Amino acid sequence: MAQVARTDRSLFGVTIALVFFGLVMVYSASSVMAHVKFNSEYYFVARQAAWVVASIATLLFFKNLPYRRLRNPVVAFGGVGAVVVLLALAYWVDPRHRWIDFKFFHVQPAELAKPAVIVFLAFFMTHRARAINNRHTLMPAALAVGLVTVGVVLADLGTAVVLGLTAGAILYVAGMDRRYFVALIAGSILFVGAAIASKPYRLARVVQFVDPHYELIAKIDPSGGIREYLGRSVAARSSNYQADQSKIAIGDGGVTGVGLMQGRQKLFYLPEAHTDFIFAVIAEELGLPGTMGLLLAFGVILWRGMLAALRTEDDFGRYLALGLTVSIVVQALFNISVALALVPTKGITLPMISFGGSSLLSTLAMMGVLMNVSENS
Amino acid sequence: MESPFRTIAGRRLALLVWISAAWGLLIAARLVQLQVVQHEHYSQLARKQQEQLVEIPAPRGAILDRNGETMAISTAVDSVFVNPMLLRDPATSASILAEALSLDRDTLARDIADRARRKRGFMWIRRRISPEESKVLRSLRYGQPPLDWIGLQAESQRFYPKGQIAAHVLGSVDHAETGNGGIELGLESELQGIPGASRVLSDVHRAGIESSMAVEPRPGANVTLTIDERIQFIVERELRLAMETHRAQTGSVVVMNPHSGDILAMASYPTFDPNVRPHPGEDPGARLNNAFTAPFEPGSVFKVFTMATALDTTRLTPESILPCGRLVMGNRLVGEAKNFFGPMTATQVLEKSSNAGSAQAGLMVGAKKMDAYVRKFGFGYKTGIPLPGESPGLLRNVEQWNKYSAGYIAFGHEIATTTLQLARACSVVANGGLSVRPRLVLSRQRPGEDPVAERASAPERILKPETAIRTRLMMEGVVLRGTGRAAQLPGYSAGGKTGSAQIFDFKAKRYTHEYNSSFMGFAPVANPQIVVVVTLNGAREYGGAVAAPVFRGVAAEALRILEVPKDLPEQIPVTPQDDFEEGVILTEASDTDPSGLLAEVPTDPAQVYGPVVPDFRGKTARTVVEEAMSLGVPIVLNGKGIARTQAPPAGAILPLGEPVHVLFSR
Repeated sequence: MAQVARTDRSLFGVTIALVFFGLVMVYSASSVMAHVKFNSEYYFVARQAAWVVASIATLLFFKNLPYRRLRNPVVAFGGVGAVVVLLALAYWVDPRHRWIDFKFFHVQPAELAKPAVIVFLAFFMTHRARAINNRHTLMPAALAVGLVTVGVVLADLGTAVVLGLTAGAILYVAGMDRRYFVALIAGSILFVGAAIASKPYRLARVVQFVDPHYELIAKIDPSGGIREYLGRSVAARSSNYQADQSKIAIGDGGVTGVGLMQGRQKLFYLPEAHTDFIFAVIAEELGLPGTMGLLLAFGVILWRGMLAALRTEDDFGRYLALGLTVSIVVQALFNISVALALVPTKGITLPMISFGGSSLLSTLAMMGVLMNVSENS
Repeated sequence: MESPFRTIAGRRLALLVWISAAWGLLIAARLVQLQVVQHEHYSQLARKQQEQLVEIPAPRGAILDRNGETMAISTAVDSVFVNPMLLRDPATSASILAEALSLDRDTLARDIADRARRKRGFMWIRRRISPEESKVLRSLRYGQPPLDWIGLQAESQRFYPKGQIAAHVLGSVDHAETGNGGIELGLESELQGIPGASRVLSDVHRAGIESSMAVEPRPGANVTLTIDERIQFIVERELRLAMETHRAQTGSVVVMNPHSGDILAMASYPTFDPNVRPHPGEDPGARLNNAFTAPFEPGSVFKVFTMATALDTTRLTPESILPCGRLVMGNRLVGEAKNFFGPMTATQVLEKSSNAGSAQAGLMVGAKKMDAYVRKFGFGYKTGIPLPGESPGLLRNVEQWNKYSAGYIAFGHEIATTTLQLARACSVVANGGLSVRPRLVLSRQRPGEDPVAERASAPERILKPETAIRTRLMMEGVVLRGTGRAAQLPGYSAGGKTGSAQIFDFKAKRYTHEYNSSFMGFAPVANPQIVVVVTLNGAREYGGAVAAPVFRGVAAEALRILEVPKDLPEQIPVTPQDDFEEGVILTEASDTDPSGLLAEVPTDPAQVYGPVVPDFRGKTARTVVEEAMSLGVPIVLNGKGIARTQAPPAGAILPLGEPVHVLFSR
């Protein structure tokens, strides 16, 4: 195979298209709200545009950086370590937002956790490839992933779930034994369950997903203790509301959509219209072509990423491509599923589309690495 | 390159791709479900929450008097509301509102909390606040920091700038600005505009983002009344004065142009302020318009129409002699109020208000013609003015009349009329014998259109012109020499008739000692410009003393306002009032027929005085009629030629109401 770096055009094209499409949709979804809250309709889109520039630069940097340079213990351990420190710092500095405020922008360490963990796992699995089902391999891996995940869970359960699934995918493909894998899944479920139950709003979201009017809860728990716990969160009251509003937006869009910028659900009906629920705005304004097109775009990323993972001959590249692809595609699928009320509401952005600098930067960095793997496969 | 799917990694990668693809397909299916299959459902949900159809109230039309003075107008005022669910600090909000609107803080706070508990997203704090309160709340609403939870809704409020003036004609409106009385109710459909609707695209806070006018509001029509506010003012002043002086219970006055039928003023007492909504404790009768809702036995004023009818249909002339005094019709005794009268001319009968004389005239006319004329004058029918609650009065069908009904109706019994009906009938005499339909609305003007004048009904001749003129002169006699001298006007000739009917107590089935005192008149005599009818119920004095001065006060001022040239020297000595008065006679009775409105008194026929039957035999029909007329003896003629026989015979006393039958042959 020729080692001449040639651009993976479809992957690059789709990425750039998604980023600019996202910029347009962020403007559409946020302009009214920005005008009302910040007296400038460009408040969000201007910031996002700046991040797009920085993110594309980052993308190009990683696209042209041979991915093997990342196969380095300093990068692998340093990345994870830095993320853990940042997470702790963020939690300590600003427990409410869990971000670090750099005056002009906020860095969300949770977003940076994904590439760090992926690089770490790829590195670790490559080194321990022959002894994958050995507890000396699994324990440190689980420890590192677990540490990061705990930190992320504290901030953002949605990202943690994506992270967990990504790690699981890497371990699975790396050849982990089925019984370990089952144990991992069981442990994850327990962990996620505990994480959900620890916060009233998270539990309320899950409960409302299956039992919107608390009818079941009332039967199980006549004393009302659970309801009282669920009712502690103000956000809980609105979780079904969010899903309902999202469905209205998507359903109202119909086959043709109401037209770009013409959406109405973003007029404060739909919460987080420019971030977590931007898919609903796209569906409302652009209809079925918009939603199916978006789905197709992520399908292309899945296809090209998995193909790269399959074709690449070195394990590090394979695990890297796999982890990056899975994390991005799974996050997208999760986000869309939330908007479609297929899974309970959780705070998770649509990669490359949603407003959010840290997310965009980290995603495009990941896409850059993925392109590099793809181009060298 | 060997197939990558041989390795575990390759197979497991493929599995992951399939799982992801399946997830993607699930999403695609869900998208089809939401965006294609259930699209209509979600569109409706979206419309429902995003769009509000806001009603845009149409301004209610104004009511003007004939000179363009505003009698009723709608002005924009604010109403205050809050969304109890969205109040961040209900207690503070309640105290701010209570402070600004002078409400009880604790009650308001409790109410708001109660609504919030019941998940009510809307609550009126107070509707139609004063401009001062509005100013305070607006400064809070748009101040720093803006208290945007204070909701202000522009509403329309009816305002009657003249206060009580013409209250009964105008009526009033309820909280929704819908008429609930008077012209406001009568012309509701025209005054009320057609509300428009605006489709407001709103955000989740119900703040309008953009609105499109779905239907333009159509303001109500402006209505110009025939009322002259200046005359109305005089009328109400004079009526109030009389009511308070004589301690009457209710009263009404109608001033009408006898030619056009225009109602220049219409007042009722007790009165009310239309700016004040009906409230507990107010006089429940104050909002009733006594000018046409409460019919009464007109009594002596009705003699005018009897005389006019007799002049028109019989050979009676103003100079014809009518026997007067105590007469018996059937088993009832008809007497005079105070004095015993001998035979008098028809003019004198009216001037002195002789019941017996009028009854004679009525009997001469006969039931059939009496009925026809009374109905032509408009009695027994609604006048058709656009005000609610008009009574047609009471007038039995002629088939139900007894032999003497024409005689009783002749002096205003067995019939009930309204003040308005009397004004209408008096106009026929005043205008030379033509029917008029009372008119209250001069014109209506829809916004953006030219005013449309109310069409006057085509006049129909009811009386011969000479009859009308003769009746007018007889009525002038009443004012110059008779019971109505208190109605003499400085500078103007006037004609009129007094009336005092005992009020019949329908519960006790007896006549009370209270009178329905009325005066019906016109001025000037030669070419009357106004007809004024005054009725005071429950006064303890006769019409001449109570109602005539009201006529005098009203007519003098109204003629001046209408710039009618004077036809008499300014100073005219008013003849002092005689001690006699007209009035009815019916002693207290027990067995009355309420529908007949008449008490019956069984009397001893021996005491009855009736006319002596003259000898008609050997005379021509013409001579017989003239002789009978001059004596006031009703006759029935049969055959042609010379009178041969008669019944009853000459010299007999004719029972009242019975005609003399005369048989003629050649």
